[in-house]
Amino acid sequence: MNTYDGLVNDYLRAVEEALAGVPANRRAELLADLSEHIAARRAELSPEQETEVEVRSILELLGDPEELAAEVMLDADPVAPPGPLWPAGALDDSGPPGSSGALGSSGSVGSSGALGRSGSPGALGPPGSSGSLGSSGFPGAPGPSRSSGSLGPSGPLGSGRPGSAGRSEPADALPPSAAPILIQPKKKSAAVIWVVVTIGAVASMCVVAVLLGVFLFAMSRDSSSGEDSPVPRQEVPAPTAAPTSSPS
Amino acid sequence: MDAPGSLSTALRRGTLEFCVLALMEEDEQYGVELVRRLGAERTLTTSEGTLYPLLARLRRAGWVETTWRESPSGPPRRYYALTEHGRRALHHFRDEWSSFRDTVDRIVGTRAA
Repeated sequence: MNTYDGLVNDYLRAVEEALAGVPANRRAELLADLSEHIAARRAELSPEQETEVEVRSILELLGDPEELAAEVMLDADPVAPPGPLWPAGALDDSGPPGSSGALGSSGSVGSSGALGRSGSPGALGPPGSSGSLGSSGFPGAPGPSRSSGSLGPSGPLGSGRPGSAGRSEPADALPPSAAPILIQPKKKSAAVIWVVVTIGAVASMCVVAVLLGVFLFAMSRDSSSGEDSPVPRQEVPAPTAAPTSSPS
Repeated sequence: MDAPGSLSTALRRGTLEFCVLALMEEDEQYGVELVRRLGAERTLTTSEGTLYPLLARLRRAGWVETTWRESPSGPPRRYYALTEHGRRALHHFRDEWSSFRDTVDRIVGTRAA
């Protein structure tokens, strides 16, 4: 572990904490990008040049963690629930060739090897704890090529891409629509009540309509039966010719 | 009324991403170098790090694609290149921007004499 890895890890940890409200895939994506950037910038420095001032300068140019989080939140989806973030390997796209480790293999930020505490998304383990920052800590955090935790063999950016130099990356390996749809319990019960009331109203209307139909049918039947029934014809007595007494 | 900082942010919004696309128009760009170049433009960005969420958005939109290349020294490098979709978006922006800029200049009175 390089002398200044702690500075880098502290910075990445601060970014990760600032990104607490950001969906996990975006969080992992930015952390991987920042780690890659830091590793590349440190690789430009010779061992003599890599001083605390230089490393701090790299981090300062990257910007304030809160500012980065605000930028990510501009287009963030609703916050994903805690728990396993993506299927294993979903974040593989973030890693450079030859890397392997946390973000890719576990698919969960903060799980063992990524940020420290095993199995607790987003949790940060104490330095030196199992899987904590260091040789297998933040992607590329331990520094470029001069430490065992460089972006090469143990960098946790994703599964290895041996010989993949020059290979084109897909636009995004993380399905944006993969976030589960959450229904709040209150809204769910309200929706159920609404459905029940609607069904009840429709059923009532159906019953009323049927009864009305039966009633009208009966009425029409009554009236038509009245017309068809033979009316006893009253014999109209033929007018009897009144005896006319003609005066003769 | 918004603070001056908010105005800068609002002006950057919707334009910075096309500046990024324009830098890739001729040739693919090494990501770190691209970020360093844009990060130095204080009118456009506040810090280098804020460009990474933007680059991620462009990747998701399919406007840029990335390629890993081995580096002669240091870790592998990620290169960004414009896709055909991104190229069309950039052309569309140029058309819209010219009209938008002319209108604002005319109304606000910032048109060059």
